[in-house]
Amino acid sequence: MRSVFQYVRPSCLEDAVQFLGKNGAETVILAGGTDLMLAMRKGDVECKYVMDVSRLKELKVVSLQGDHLVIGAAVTYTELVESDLIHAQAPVISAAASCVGSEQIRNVGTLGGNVGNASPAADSIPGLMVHNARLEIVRRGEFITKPLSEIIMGPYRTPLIRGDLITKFLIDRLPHPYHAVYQRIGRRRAMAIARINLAATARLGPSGAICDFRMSIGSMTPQPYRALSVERMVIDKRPDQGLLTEVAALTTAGMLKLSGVRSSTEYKKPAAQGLIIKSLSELFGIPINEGESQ
Amino acid sequence: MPEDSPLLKIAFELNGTVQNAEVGPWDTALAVLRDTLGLIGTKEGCGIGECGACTIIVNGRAVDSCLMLAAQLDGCKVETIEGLSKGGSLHPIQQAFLDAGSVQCGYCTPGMIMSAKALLDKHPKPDHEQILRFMSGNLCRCTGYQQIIEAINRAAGSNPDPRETGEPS
Repeated sequence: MRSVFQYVRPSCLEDAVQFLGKNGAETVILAGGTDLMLAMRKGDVECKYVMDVSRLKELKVVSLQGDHLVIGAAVTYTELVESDLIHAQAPVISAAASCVGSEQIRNVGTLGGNVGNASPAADSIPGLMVHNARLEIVRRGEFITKPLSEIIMGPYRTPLIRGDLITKFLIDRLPHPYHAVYQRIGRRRAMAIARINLAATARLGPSGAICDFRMSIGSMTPQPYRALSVERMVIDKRPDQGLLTEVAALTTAGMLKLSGVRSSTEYKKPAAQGLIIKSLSELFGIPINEGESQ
Repeated sequence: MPEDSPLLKIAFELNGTVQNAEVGPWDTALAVLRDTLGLIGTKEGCGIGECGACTIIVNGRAVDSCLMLAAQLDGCKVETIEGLSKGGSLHPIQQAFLDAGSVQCGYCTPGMIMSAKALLDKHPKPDHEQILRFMSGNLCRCTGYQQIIEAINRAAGSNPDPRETGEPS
């Protein structure tokens, strides 16, 4: 039996915040609906109100504000893909958005929904992580900002409570010019959720040595993973196949420490190493030696 | 129905005509199109946004109507398969589906055609990659996709490329 509720669609953020201040504990937020509608179909949505925020223009903004790129929580994947600003400033986020689901899903699914549901396979997470994304959230009328790494506590687990509204993402701009890559492994290209996904960015100095490197891998660890020690390790080194192999081994070992050895590890470990080598080869323009890329 | 969950009055443009409807807050767009308005061309396949049989076009974009509340149609421009043929003549995409033999059981066809329309409205001369990308959310279990891709190429006025094979991936 389908869930039963009232539908509310505030016309501005202020009205939404006011409504949530009063009724937040009894309200579920609807943005793209690609996850929520499935729960409703099963009758799993128990609330008095469903608040549709998909048209709030304050949540649809994409703009540069000082050192940050601001992306509204209700911006859809299609809008991310079509945005020249995001393509220029955060190409890994564009690339990740273009990998999501199908055209129909990309047309309604939102960045805020992807993060708010904390799916371990969320395509957007690694790209957001390399940009040190922070979320602006309204909780009981108060605006708070939290790093993404604190929002994803584990698969489908966040510190968000009913009535919280993610309003926007603040994304660090990266030092120019940099190279960027997003790759994923899924069972098939369309629709399939990511089994492992990776975003990385790098900047090379005039000598060809790495002066900035960021890499995040999704779907492997309970929380989003930034390979911070490896990121530091490669600084001032010149990228070559040996370095990529070392990065792949160290990063995978670091993730396995966090995730523990599970039944899927046998598959995921070489897959992750192969994904890292393939992605970084693309990032640095180093031809892959197939024998070493698994 | 609980007293505190009254019907909602919505108004939207449906295939070029203003449409008013009273809907339950939890009704899907698909349910209202089919059961309230009697437009049964749009099909329910999986009901969970995987198969695309329920694809309609809302404000120019293809969406799964099973994953949308009817209330969300309020104020929107909505196109369904019923709006395509004009004055007894098939829409060029419909004709191309017939000409290319793209229809077997036909259940996926309305959704396929609506996705194809959203594609061709946006990219009148799509390349092969664009076709695969736009159509990847529509499943067909009969035709093997080749004829569907050919129909889209025909509708686009481009010559079918004999090298094109395989299914949307």
